[in-house]
Amino acid sequence: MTPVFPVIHWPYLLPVIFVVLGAVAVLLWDTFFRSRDRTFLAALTLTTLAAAGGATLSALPGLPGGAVSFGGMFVFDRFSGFVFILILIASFISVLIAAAQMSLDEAPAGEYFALILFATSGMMLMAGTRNMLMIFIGLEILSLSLYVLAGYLRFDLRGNEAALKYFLLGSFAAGFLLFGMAMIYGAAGSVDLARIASHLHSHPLSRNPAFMLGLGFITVGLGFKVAAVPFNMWAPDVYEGAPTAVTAFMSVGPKAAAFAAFFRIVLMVGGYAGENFIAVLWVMAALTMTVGNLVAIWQANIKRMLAFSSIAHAGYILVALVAAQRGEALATGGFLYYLLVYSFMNLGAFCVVVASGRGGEERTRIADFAGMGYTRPVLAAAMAIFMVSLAGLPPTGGFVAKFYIFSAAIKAGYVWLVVVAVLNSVISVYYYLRLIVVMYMQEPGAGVDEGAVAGPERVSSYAFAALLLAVIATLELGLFPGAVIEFALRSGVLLN
Amino acid sequence: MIELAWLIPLFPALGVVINGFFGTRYTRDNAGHIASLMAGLSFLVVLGIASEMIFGSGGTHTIHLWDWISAGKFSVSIAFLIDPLSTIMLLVVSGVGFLVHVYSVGYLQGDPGYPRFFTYLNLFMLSMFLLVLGDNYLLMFVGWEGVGLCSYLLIGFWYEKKSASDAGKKAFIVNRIGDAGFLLGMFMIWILTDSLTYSEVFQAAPNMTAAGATAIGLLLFIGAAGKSAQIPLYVWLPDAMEGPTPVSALIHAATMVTAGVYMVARTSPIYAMGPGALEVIAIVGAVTAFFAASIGLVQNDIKRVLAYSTVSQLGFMFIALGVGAYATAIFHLMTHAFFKGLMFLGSGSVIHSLHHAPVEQQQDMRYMGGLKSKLPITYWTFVIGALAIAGIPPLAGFWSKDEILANAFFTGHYFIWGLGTAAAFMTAFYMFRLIFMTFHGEMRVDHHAREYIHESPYSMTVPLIILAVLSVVGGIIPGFPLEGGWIHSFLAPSLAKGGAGGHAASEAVQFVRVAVESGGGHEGPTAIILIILAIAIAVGGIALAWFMYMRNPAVPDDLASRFPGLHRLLLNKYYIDEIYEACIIKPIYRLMNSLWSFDANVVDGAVNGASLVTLVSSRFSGIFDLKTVDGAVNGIASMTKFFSQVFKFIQSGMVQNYLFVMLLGIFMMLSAYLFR
Repeated sequence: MTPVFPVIHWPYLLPVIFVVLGAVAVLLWDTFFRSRDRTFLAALTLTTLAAAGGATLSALPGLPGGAVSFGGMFVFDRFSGFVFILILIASFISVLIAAAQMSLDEAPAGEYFALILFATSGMMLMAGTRNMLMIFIGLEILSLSLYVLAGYLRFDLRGNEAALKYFLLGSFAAGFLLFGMAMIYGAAGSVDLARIASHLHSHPLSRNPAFMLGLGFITVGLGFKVAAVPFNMWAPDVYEGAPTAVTAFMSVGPKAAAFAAFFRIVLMVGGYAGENFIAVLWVMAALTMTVGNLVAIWQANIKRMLAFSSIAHAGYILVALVAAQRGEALATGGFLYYLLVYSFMNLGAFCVVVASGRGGEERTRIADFAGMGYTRPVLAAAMAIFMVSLAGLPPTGGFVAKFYIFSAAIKAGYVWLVVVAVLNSVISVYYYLRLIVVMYMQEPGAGVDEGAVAGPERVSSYAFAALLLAVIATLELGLFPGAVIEFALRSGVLLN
Repeated sequence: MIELAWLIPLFPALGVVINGFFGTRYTRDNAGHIASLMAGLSFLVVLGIASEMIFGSGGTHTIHLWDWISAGKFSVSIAFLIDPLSTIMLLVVSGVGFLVHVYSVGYLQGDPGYPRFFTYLNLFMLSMFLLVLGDNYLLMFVGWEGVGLCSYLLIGFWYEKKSASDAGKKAFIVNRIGDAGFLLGMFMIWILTDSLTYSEVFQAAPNMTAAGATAIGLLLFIGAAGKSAQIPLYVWLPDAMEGPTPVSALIHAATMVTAGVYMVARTSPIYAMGPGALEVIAIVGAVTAFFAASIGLVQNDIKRVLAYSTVSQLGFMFIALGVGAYATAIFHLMTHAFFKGLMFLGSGSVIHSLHHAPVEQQQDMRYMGGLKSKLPITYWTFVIGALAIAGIPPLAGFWSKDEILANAFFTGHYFIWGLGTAAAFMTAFYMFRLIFMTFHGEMRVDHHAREYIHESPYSMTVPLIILAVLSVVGGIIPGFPLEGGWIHSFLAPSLAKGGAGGHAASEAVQFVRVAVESGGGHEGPTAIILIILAIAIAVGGIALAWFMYMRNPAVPDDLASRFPGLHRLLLNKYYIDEIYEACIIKPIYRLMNSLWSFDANVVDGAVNGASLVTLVSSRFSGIFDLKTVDGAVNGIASMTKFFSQVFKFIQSGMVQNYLFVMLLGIFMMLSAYLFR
């Protein structure tokens, strides 16, 4: 009997390999050349991410339909390519933000950057596979890194609380996810989504409870990761407690990866679950948008506000999922585009929060932003652009992205869901623009010390780079979306 | 020249960049000059384009800049549309806008927010140009949002004043309701026609069902009612007077608030397919015109009178739209921009001259009087404006208002005609009440402020004079003869024919036209009676105001004491704000609060309740081994205690609540789709 070697397309694996090797290199370097200076480690991390991005981009042209390695454990197609690039960009900006956050100066830098890279590799594995176990492994690599990152400031009580809370709830959700996968394995005899699909196709298990239950549990597990209502309760506490740079990272990359996996699962096998499953997603989308937006209005802490805002955005993305499930080609492309825009605007907003901190102290009350339009005009202008984009107003990327998702949903016949979504984005304008008002139409309050009034403080060059990147991308994606949306649409086609 | 249309929004954009980035440090006192220069340059380009459109070939031109959004066969461009309708709008916006810029240079001199003001003002011009120029609904929406934002920023310009920032907030929130309608209408258009570009949408419009067109029409009208302050969304406009007076003139009288009128006129091919929506528009417009005019009768704040007058006049424009007389609506929009812009700037001039009076008296007409001799230019231009709005021929307002009422009458909308005529009477009355209280009689100004009263500088009076001239000739030149004026033939290519009641209405209008034209001028028998009636009503209103406020000043107080309920009702604006507060704001507030405290109360309660139920049921189910049950309960209790101890350490650690909610969600979800 000859052993069967799995097919492996090494060039397509390179992006993940780069990231993992980079993580190891960062750890090793930090072990042998310990220094308090983060500059080199940050540069090494950024280089790693850029190299991985380059490898992804160079692998994309001339890509056949999809390259399957390790018998489906690793799949590189246009969809995973786009998500890889998105995740790498998000991590790149997150590293810049982390380098800009002063309070992290006191903590060891090596592990931090290594953990970000490990988390990145986990995210990439989640997006680039059609094997459920691999999704779980990727999710765990990601989650374990995030638990540690959330409590990275060891002597910060709030950070510890966030980490523990995240860990407890996260393991609960992971349990559901794994349980769901086991049930689907029991029902369809495989953990490979393609095989499950073909099995379900040839043996129509109409309303097979094990399969249905399994899919439901997977929805719970991934719904937790993307913070969809009612699995969202952890998000505000954790976002608030974790160091802001970590919150920024958490709010974008992991969400993108979990959504990518969610899309793949739902689009490959969700169709066999019938109308009721779509109805669940529909309700979840509507609830997530509404709760996120309504509660965000009342937040006095900017990190909590952004947490609820990101919950609301998960709701909009779920709208795309509902439409994609109906086979609407525009939906998957719109979803990818939305994620890209969301990454830039959300990271940009967090970057402003980090950069507006003074010394080691973070300033996260919304009242702290009063009068920032005059004391820190550059930061305030950038924040205003991100808020306008998050609110989905033209001429920013947020508007175009919403437009595509809502259009797709309408085309798929979900007019009422779009009505809910439009009303929601109308509500959301209130709290996004309130921040602009606070910055430009209120005097600096009592909370501002003399330094702020005396003159603008220098924005660190890391933060400046991140902001520049985010601002340009947010505007570019709003004014000239042509090329990117085409790329996104082509990347989404295969899944439908 | 027409292909240079992209220059129109470019100049104010430049102004925004210059004053926005360098205003506080470099341009400071020159910010006004830079902004005015930019507005002036735009105006020049508009003049060039307009002369080509009016004296040249006319027609419809699209200036395509770049493709913006595309997906499959659907695409939206950044493209500008120059046609008769947008030409008229451009002339009004850039012309009045330029004058207001110049006026503001003098009016806001010395204000600490000087460069900020002009940044916003230029940003407003930019957005308004986009709104008017866009060749598709999406670009119109961009401008629509932009002018809304600027209006909000400018109402709250003096943000230290709480009333100002509150008014800004109110305007913003009310407008969001309208915007939601606009967005949904836009989506419906897209669903039904697969496009958002005007030319494609209107090509597909004749194939729409009446229901679809009516739905679109009503949704878009919600947007228009928000922006153009119609019932029930008008409440923000009177409060918007907290902004600087030039802003009230430009944004809240002449241009932005007419965006809704423009939008409905632009969409006329769809409205032609859904006459039901037009019927609603006509009724809402008529009721608004009447209602707002009645509130204007008793207000004492000079700007509030003008504000309610604006709401009322916008109602007139919607009457015109509703009866299918689109060109007349745009005509009234134009003349209104002249005379209302004039009167707002005039009131600004009055307020400016009373700068040394106590703040609460600066806008209160009860503390004015006798200003005629001190402010001659302001006075005479104001009188021209008031005569124009009252409808005294041959001033501008007569032509457009008379056409509106005649159209309503001849399309069989007698009730609407009645309301409009009553509103016109009240308009003439309250305008001259304002003039008599402000400029005539004995001076009631605070003694310390009297010596400082002076006519405003040239930068403020010259715009007044120009607008006064326009208020005189702006009606008769484009509008003579009635219903047959040049403006109708010029606008015709941009607008659909027909209106409420479908063909019958358009035939009725046609009939009037024929009757008027064949008779040579004003000789249709009914038409001439209507015209005489309109003039009589205007003169009557003025005469009544003269009688009550000049001849016999005791009458108003006498009336107020004889009808105290009615007077209080009008003075308090029918208590609409209070009703909204009680019926809408409070309940929403409560809902929000309860959502917010959901976590604290409901979830906690549910968790506690669950454990209580367990406890109670365990006590009563004595069949089971007490020890086992007790043990289990104790186990749960001690576990809870353990967890709560763990989480007491980290304060708000209600993880069990979070888990509970998650579980609840899971159960609900699974039971919903597994066992249905």
